[in-house]
Amino acid sequence: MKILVCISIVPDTTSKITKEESDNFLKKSDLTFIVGPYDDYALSRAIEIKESIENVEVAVLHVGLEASEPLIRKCLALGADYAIRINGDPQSSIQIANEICNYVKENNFDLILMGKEAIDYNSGMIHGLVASGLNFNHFSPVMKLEVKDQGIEVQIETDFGKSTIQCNLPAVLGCQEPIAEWKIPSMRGIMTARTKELKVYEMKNNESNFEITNESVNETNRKQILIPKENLDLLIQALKKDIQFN
Amino acid sequence: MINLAVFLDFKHNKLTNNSKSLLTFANSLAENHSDIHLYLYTVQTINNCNIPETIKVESITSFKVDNHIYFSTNASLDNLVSQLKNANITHIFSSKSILNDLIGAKLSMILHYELITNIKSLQVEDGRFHFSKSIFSGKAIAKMNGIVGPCIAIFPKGFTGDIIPDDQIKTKEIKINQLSSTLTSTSIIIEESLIQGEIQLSEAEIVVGAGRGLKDPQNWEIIEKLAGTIKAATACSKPVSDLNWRPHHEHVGQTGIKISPKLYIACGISGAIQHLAGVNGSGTIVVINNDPDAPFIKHADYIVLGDLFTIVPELTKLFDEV
Ligand SMILES: Cc1cc2nc3c(=O)[nH]c(=O)nc-3n(C[C@H](O)[C@H](O)[C@H](O)COP(=O)(O)OP(=O)(O)OC[C@H]3O[C@@H](n4cnc5c(N)ncnc54)[C@H](O)[C@@H]3O)c2cc1C
Ligand SMILES: Nc1ncnc2c1ncn2[C@@H]1O[C@H](COP(=O)(O)O)[C@@H](O)[C@H]1O
Repeated sequence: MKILVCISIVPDTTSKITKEESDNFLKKSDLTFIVGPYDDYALSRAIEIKESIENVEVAVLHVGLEASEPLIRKCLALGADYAIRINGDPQSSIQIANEICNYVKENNFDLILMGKEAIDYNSGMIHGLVASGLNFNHFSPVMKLEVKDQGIEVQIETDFGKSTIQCNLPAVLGCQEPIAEWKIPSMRGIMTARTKELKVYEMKNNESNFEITNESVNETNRKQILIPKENLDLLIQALKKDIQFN
Repeated sequence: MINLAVFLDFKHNKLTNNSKSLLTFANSLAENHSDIHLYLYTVQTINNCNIPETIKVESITSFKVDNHIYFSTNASLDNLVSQLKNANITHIFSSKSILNDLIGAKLSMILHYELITNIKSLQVEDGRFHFSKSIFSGKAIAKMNGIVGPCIAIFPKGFTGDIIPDDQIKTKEIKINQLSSTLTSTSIIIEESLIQGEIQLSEAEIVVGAGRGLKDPQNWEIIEKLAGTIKAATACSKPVSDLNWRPHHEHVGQTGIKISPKLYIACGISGAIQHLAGVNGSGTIVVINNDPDAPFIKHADYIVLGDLFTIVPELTKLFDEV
């Protein structure tokens, strides 16, 4: 079985986002980047599957610039077999999805795992777009994944509750916790990652309808009013004024 | 000419609050721009459809689906796609839900329409839609160039803010054009569990969240009582769901659900940045914590310092008296 895990490289949530007065864009140089936390869940599950059944190959794919390579190597250190970077600076989900679709069409995978959403633009769309482009089965958000009888069994969230579903491969899944435990690379993993293959291809389609023209920091100023615990009715009065309480 | 389709969501045959505000918003765009024409669609099965009287649309196209839509293939949308093409729909608005995201992604790929999510604001100028998006889990805002050509826009919950209570608006019943899906799916449902009774977290206008400060799953009784009294949904922090004190679908934050209720009351939650990432879209935030240095304090509108085990029950009592 061939599994492809698609990863996003995103600013760490704890990094403080700032902007130069004169500039229209956020300061990227101050940010620490990480592999998307949901993608980490997807990768961890892929590696668990590889470790538990025979003949599983796990590849990691990222559409982005060379600066991402140390983080792609980290995924190899966690246990992925090889990696693919499609070089470019994509502007939209559709662009990324098309690049992934092209690669999968030429290289056949049984299972494509992604995170539920990337935490930079929080769209949660790329897995749906890829599934639609390839006409594969698609589930998101997936909380449990087991490989069973040539297919998979997944537990998904719907707008009404949860469902457990058996489906055929190929499939594209958007993963979220508790699908797996996050992993930490071992020393041996780090050593072997250096010799694993990282293939680089160029993005085929660099045109986008989309362009970000300005970025700004979103500052919601909170009121910061201290309510003495002896006077909780003050809180109720304040809330009644702020939101129409019924 | 912009033919704008608004995809509406219903719950028990009633328009949801998110759909009502999205419809009101789309209608105001149509009223202010003579080249925008409004059409209504739904992918839910409905028996009747009542919309605010001010909306000058006389029918809705209902694309009949069942739960299988969550895992059917592109082909299931054939009828909907040809209907959208025949009606010359150029723009689609829907509000964020698991189902609408799935359908939005499929339609975008099939129709080659641009896809825009997490919309913070939208202006129409020179026949172009100019969007601002909320990015980095709400920490920043990105403005985009005007989109040329067709697009599908998915609006976060509570996009346009205030909702007018049902009894204050006159509604009218409109005609339903039924359209059915040709279901093609090889998947089999093994088990289904439906959320019953409780208020759904992502839809809730008031949310009571609780964290590790509760110490023990048994203690959630006081949280549930408070939530019950103010008709709130309950939420929790990640460690709480990791410990299996509460179900995973209640976990909010960077790796959980993002909520934007009118009021969020956080009890015994420290306010780690990953938790804030899921709740900073809330209207008013109340923090109950016994640690004056808890990071959440800086992100709160109202702060009550002290022991939640006495404050929460007392607050419940006071709300009950209101
Ligand atoms: C990549 C990553 C992703 C993450 N994603 C998420 C996420 O999506 N959501 C999330 O919530 N977390 C997430 N976390 C975890 C996050 O960093 C925090 O660890 C977590 O939010 C802390 O949970 P807590 O506030 O319940 O617990 P604690 O940090 O232990 O806080 C408990 C709070 O309760 C207070 N307290 C204790 N007793 C009382 C009392 N009697 N009365 C009043 N107050 C009391 C304490 O003062 C303290 O502030 C993530 C972490 C990482 C690394
Ligand atoms: N640049 C990228 N390259 C490869 N995969 C990506 C990229 N961006 C996002 N993804 C994958 O798509 C998922 C959903 O992303 P999004 O739709 O942007 O929220 C992520 O969790 C990743 O698994």
